[in-house]
Amino acid sequence: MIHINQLKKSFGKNLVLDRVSKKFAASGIDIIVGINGSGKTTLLNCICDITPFESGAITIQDVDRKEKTAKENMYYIPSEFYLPDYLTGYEYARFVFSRYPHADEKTFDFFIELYHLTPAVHQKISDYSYGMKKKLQLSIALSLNVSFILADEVFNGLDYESYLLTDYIINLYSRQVKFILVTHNMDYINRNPRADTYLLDAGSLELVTDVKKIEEIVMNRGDLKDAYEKIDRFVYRFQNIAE
Amino acid sequence: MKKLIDSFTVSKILLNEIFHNIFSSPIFRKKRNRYAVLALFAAAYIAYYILNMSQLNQMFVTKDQLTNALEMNLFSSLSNVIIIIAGFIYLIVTISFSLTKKMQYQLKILPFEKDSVVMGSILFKLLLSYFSFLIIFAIIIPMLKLFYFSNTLNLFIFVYCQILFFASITCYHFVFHTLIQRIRLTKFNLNIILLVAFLFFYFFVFRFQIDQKFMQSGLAVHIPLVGSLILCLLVIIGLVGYGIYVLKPDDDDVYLSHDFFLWKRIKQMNYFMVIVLGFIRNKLTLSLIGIVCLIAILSYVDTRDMTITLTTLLYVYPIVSFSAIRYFSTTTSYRTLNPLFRLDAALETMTTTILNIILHLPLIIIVLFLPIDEIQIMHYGLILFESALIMSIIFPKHKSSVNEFAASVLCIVLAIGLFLISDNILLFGIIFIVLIGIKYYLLERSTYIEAV
Repeated sequence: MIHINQLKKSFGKNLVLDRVSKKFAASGIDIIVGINGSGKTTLLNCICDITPFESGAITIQDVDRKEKTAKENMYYIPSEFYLPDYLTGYEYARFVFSRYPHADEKTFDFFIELYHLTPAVHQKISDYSYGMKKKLQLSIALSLNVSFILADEVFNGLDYESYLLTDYIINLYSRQVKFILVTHNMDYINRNPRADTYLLDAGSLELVTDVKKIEEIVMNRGDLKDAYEKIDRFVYRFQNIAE
Repeated sequence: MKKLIDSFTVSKILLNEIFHNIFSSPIFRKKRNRYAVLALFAAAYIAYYILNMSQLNQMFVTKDQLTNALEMNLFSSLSNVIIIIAGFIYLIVTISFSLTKKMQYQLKILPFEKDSVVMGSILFKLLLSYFSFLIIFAIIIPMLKLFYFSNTLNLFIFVYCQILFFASITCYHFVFHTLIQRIRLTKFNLNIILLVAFLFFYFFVFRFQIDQKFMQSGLAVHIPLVGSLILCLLVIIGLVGYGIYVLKPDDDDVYLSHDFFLWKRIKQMNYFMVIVLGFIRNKLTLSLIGIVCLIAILSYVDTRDMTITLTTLLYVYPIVSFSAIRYFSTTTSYRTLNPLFRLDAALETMTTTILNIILHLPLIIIVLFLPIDEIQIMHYGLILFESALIMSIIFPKHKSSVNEFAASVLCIVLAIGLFLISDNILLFGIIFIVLIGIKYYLLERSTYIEAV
């Protein structure tokens, strides 16, 4: 279980996470949504010890997130590619495997083949496309035999076939592994009604019981309505000038 | 005309990138202030030159002691030194300068006239080279103590030196870039190999022959001669510059910068290997190692003497340390995840220090096991590596196209300073440990900054 207790994080005067508390169970899929800048990536970064925070605590299987055993239990696929350009995909995978005690190379080979990455795995990562980098990270994550996989916008850049494939794999693996996914992909959210979806807004994390209402919530809470009206006025004014 | 304006705009964009911090300060925001500072700088520079060339020199040589032949010899030496310095500056700029991805993107999508990006970046490189030349020239001015010329002639020689630098750089670019690209000899960095070979033979062979020829020519250094030479050089610059414009390749390599070469695949991976591969696959490291090997080979071909070859190798080997200038940029793409992989600043400091020692093993072996008493060079190499690595953290390449260049210049200044005081082992040990400490502090701090 990942236990977040009273997590507080701000950037300067901007309070991003305001005493967030949450327990993520040991398996299943949890989805975090929220507008840009609401702190979704920061939350994942805090869990993975990438970003320090002011107060609160995060434990992974009852062990502080900074401890070796805690880190050996989780893997993070960030939205930006933090990959060494000069290594091949295979070399990078071998490096990550050297940091995890239960990594399984056969699983890696299986997923690499499944994602049609076999010819590219011995090329430099700098030569990879956006989607290829995502597939490489997914293949590594699934081969580590960790309890928690955190992923930020994991479906971005995947072709539709790979997207469906990844959706299927995550569903299957989620029986034993916990996936915490940050995504804006409404199609994915709608396709996975069994997943718990949380809205991160104004520093707090709330469970959304009816995912169909996400658009409605965003409309009501954000400035979207005002923005629509502004756009209308702006466009019509230009049309009038043109006429 | 539009092309010319666009070329200037491109070089201005690139210059803004380097001097962004300086020109953003309130004093430099006004154009008038910028020109005033530039004029003041130029006046101070010329005054410094004149002072060094006239007043101080009288202490060493009187007018009666000078002969035409000696004057000519000194003048010829000065010219040769400038040609060689221009060559080395061109080599450093060619190896170390490449546009950042951000800048490449900006220049490529903006609607500039065709070729103006290429011409603009040539112009920019020229300005960058000239800036470095001014620094080096300022250092060598006090060494030119043997001249005894009138102030007017000194001024003419000053202008001559500047024009000679531009002429040399233009010729280097024409021969080792434009022509070589035309005849498709750029594979395996052949242009760099040829340039290094040229500089080697010019430095060790040709310049003495040229000095001899000038001494025996019977000519005297006077204003008409220097003036004529300036005119000749201007004509050369014009003609060669036109040649560069006319013969420029259809697609220049402004955008192409393969930073890494995959020349061996590794099966057993760990953190140390990740760091090592970042070094040995880097284009800069390979270029520097190539240059060192080439100079050693040329030295052997020239002298057929192993001791001289090893001594030459010893003296040039420390330039390999400059490869550390790319360290931070190379590792920056993945260092955000270091905490997740349980990699901290202490481990990184230790790993890079071990790598420094391994990289300098050839130097250490030569110094310790061969009868060449130059332990200071070994100190120098180790210190230079740590300095370069520190500079790479302070001026990361990925943040600006010229950070690497700025870091190289600062690194040379820092390393020379440290070299001069590191002649005994105790002092070297202290400096080495202090540098490692600074490296650790910066790595620790950068982890936090990058993460936030």
